Amino acid sequence: MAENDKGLLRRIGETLRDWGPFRRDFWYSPIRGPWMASFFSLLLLIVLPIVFITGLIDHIAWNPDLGGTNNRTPDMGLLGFLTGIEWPTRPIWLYRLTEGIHVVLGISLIPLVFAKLWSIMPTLYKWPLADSVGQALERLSILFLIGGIFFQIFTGLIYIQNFVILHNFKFNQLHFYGNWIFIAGLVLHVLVKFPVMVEGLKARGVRKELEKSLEETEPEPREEGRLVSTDPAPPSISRRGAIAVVAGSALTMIALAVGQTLGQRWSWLAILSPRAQSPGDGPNDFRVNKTAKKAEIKPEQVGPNWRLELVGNTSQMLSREDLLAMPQYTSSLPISCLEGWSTGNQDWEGVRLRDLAEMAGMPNAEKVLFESLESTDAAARMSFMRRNQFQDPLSLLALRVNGVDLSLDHGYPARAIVPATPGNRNTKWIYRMTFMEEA
Amino acid sequence: MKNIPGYGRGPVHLLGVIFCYTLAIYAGVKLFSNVSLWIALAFPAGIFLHDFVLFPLYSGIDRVLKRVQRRQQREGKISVGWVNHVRVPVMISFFLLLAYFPIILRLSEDRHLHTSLNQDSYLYRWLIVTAVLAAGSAFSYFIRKRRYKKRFSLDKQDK
Repeated sequence: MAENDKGLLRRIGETLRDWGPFRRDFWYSPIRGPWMASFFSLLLLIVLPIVFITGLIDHIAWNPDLGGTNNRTPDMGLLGFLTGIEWPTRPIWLYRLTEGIHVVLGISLIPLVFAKLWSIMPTLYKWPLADSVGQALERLSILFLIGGIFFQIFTGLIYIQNFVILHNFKFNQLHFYGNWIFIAGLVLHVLVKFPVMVEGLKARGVRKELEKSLEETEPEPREEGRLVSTDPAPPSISRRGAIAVVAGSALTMIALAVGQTLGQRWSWLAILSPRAQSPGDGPNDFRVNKTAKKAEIKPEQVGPNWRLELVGNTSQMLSREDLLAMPQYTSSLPISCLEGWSTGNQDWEGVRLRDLAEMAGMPNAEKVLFESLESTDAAARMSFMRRNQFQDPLSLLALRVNGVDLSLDHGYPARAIVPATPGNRNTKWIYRMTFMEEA
Repeated sequence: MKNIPGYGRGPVHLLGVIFCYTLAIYAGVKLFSNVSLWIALAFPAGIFLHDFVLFPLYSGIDRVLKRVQRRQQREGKISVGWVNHVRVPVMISFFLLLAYFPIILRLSEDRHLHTSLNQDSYLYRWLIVTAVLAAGSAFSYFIRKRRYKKRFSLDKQDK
């Protein structure tokens, strides 16, 4: 029986080996080989850690340990090891920078990933599929690696575009846990393949290969293994040409996305970005993530009867006039969205949050809870901020912006604005602020 | 390093495999206790779409283009290869479509409600970017061709 099985497997193997992509001469690219694959690995090895780390930074920037909707992935268990780090308020553009990098570089991964997959395609068709249990497990983990990178890129991209099917899923769960599944695959892959990459680059040298023109481009020696064609076509592009095309594609993706983070002057360049353009050019016409209409804010909620309920040791009701009668301060701060876009600095005017903490009789409060009139989205309905955030002299309960009253879309009658804080945490349409002793 | 019998790889490899599967399964369990298990299909689906749809498609098209160019070169019809001038704009345009297809194909939720911006123009924006890329590529091709011809005629004069 065992003999028969072996015979059958061997026969399948022999048939496959001579069939289509399993044949080495099926592959004809003269530039594909260990050097090319290693070079694209190197590019990814530079870009991926930046995207990964800026993603973790976004996780920290929400101060998930404060609870409520600040923690978008409750029950994360051991994966919450970064929870509890105090997110700083300076420099004021910190989140604008890190999240802009995360989204813009994340988009530029598409050409790099495609190039890398192109360069290693023949290894997919290898028979036998694995020579041992160890290699079988290693090859199966490619599911986490390649499945994971596509999953991360596309959950991110369809989220920032409000793709209809994402409506049914919780984006943060997908993108947070998906990241760790991808990282699991990446760690094993780098552990096993890093020496291979170094070897591959060393064998031909990086600079030496980049100096070769199309006429000087020749296939790698076929002894280098499966990636090298045994029947190469004449080259139609040099290796440096192929790299230039891939890097150029990535740079084009960056160029077409980065405009959304550079303020008004460059927003025209982000021609395909979902939220790059401003709705108009008045003082209030900088970008919004969500309009008052979408948030279902009713006019009577924000009319003259609106009151801010300030809760601490005491509870007080403050009208907009009461707030305007308090000392007013101006802070020049950007709005930076987790979707990657950000505005230039806007001049916000209003009451310092630390003055309100004092007024509530809680100057030593550890955190504050903002609650919004918004009724459609639980994540935006409430937000916690830590002591360092509301004690910052630039942190305001903003009433006006750029010299005029806040528009309804920007959170009239009052919104929070805190330096270096994700836009979503800067709650709009606030009706209650509660200062709390324990963190 | 010595291979572990029955495993076929060294101890570091084994540790890597254990780490990888522990982390992936842990994160997977967390994920699927919060969202539908169907999402798990997205992982093989992404690989399948790339390896068995996109890759054969683009490499097949590329193969045809190259064959045409080679024939033209053999027949002496063209002096300068044009394949890369087709590859580059098509590739970038395709990557952009892949990245922004929800908004280009108007599959996004009501964007006016979200952002007070309009989404109707994104198809045209993508077409404009594509047209600019194609025009730039064609322009550089003609520059190359002219330069080649000039050099060719200079060479002739020398002789």
